[in-house]
Amino acid sequence: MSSPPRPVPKLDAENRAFWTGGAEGKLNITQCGDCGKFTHPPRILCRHCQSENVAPAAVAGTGVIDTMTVNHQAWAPGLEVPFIIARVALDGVPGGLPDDQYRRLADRGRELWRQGPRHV
Amino acid sequence: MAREAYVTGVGQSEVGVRLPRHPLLLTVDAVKEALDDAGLTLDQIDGVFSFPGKSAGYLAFSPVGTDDLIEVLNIKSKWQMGAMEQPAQLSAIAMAAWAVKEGICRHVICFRTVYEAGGMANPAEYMPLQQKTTSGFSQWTAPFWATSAACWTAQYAARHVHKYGLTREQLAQIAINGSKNALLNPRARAITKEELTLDKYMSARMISTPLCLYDCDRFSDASTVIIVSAGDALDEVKATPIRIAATAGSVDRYSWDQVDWPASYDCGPDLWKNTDYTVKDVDTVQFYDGFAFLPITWLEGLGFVEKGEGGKFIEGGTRIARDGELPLNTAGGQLGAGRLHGFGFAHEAVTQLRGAAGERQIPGDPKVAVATSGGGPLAAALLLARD
Ligand SMILES: [Zn+2]
Repeated sequence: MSSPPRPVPKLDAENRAFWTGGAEGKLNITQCGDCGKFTHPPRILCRHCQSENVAPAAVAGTGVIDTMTVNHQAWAPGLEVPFIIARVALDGVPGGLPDDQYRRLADRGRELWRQGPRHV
Repeated sequence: MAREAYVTGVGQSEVGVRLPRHPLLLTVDAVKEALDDAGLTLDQIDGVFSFPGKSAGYLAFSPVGTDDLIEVLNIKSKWQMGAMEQPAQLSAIAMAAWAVKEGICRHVICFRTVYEAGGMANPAEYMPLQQKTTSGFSQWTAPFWATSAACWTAQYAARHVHKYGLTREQLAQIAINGSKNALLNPRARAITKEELTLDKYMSARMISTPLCLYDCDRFSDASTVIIVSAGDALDEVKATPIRIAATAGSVDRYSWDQVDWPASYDCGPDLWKNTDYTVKDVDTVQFYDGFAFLPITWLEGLGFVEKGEGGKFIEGGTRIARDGELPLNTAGGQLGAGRLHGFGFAHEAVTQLRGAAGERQIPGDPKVAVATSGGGPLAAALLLARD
C-alpha cells in the first residue's frame, strides 16, 4: 500500500516562486527590497512595511526544528502512518521561532529527519 | 447610563451521533427551549448571531445560517451576523452583547449548530487529502499531510512538553474530568457511557503526539442557543439573568505554522481590563477543549497560573473537579459531552451560575464564571456574573 498523491498547490503570483523553487534546488521565501524582512506565506506586498517591492529570495534552507509531532492517524484512505510533521525556524529568516530552550527537541528532530521520514 | 448585556435564555437540542433529525430542526428545538427558558416569544427577538454562519463548502461543520432562522422563524431582525472572520465561536455572543449595549437590538438569538457526526456519512467532506489540488490556507497544510487541527494543536502541545515538562498523566486529567462530569449530564449520554480511567487513557492509540484519541473532542450533532438581552429589557424576562461582565478576543495570523503560541495567551489579559473582577472571584471555568491541551493554555493565558504551570495545576485532577478550587468543564466539555463547538461552554456557565445544573451542580453558590472558545490563532472569552 502506498499513500495517495499529495495535493498539489495551484500556482499563482503569490506562491509560484515558493512552490516551484525546489526544481532549481532553492527554497524561495518572499523578501522585501525596502525593509529586508520576510513574508511567509508569500504575499504580493511586504507584511511589515506594505512595500510592493517584494521578490523571492533563496534562503539557506537550514534551521532549527522548533516543534514537531508524530502523526499516527491516516487522514485519507491509504495514507501511510506514522509520519513526522515538523516546524522549522529557518536560519537567516527572522520571524521564525528559534529558541535555545528547544535545542533538545531540535536535536531529536534532526535525528529523526536523518532517519528519513517518508512524508516530510 | 451605560446599558448592560445579559444572558437571559439558554437552550439546547438533543445531542447525539448521527441523529436522524435535520440540523435546522435541531436549531429550532434549541431556540424553542431558550425562548421558553427566558420567557420570551419570537416576536421579541430582533437579532440573530452565529459563528461562523453557514459554510457552503462544509455543511456538516456549519449547516445552518442566520438567514435560515430569520426565514423559518419569521424573525423581524434588526441585525444579523454569521461569519468565520471573527475571533472564535463565542465572539458571536460578545458581538450580541455589544449590539444590545449599543441599543441596536433588545433580544438576540445566538446559536451554534453542528452536524459533524452525521456528516461523517459523507467522508469526502472530511478527506481534503483526496483532492488533487489545493489552494488558499490548505496549501500550507495539505501537501504536508497536516490537514487536521489535531496536528496543529499537537505542535503547541509538544512545545509545552519540552519547554515546561507537561506530562501525559497531567494531560489525562482534562479528559478524565470531562468523562466524570459528562456522566452527570443527561445530554451527554450519547457521547460518554463510562468513566475514563488513567490506564485506558495511557494505552489509547496516538493521533498526533502528544495527543492521543482521548485528547480529541467527539463529533456530535447538536444545536446550542444563548439569548442575549439588553439590561433595560429585563422586565420582559422571567429567567435569572446572567450578566456578561466582560468580553475579549484575539486573532493571530491565520497561519498555524507561523504562530508562536495559541491566541488564548493574548486574549486572556484583555478579559480583565474592563472589569473589577479578578481570577480570584471566579467560581467555575468552562474552557474550550477541542483538544485536551487547550484548557491548559486558557488556565495560563487568563492568569489562573503562570505560563508553564498549567500541567502542575491539573495534576491529579482534584483542583479541577466539581468540588475542587476551580471546577472545570462541569458539563463534560467537548471531550465528554460532544463537540458543540464552543457554545456548550457558555450554556454550562449560565446553568451553573443559576444553580440549575442538577446532579453536577458545583457547591458554594457560584456567582462568577468564565467561558472560552478557540485554539491556535483564534480566541474569544466571556466573563459571566450573577448580580
Ligand atoms: Zn518591507
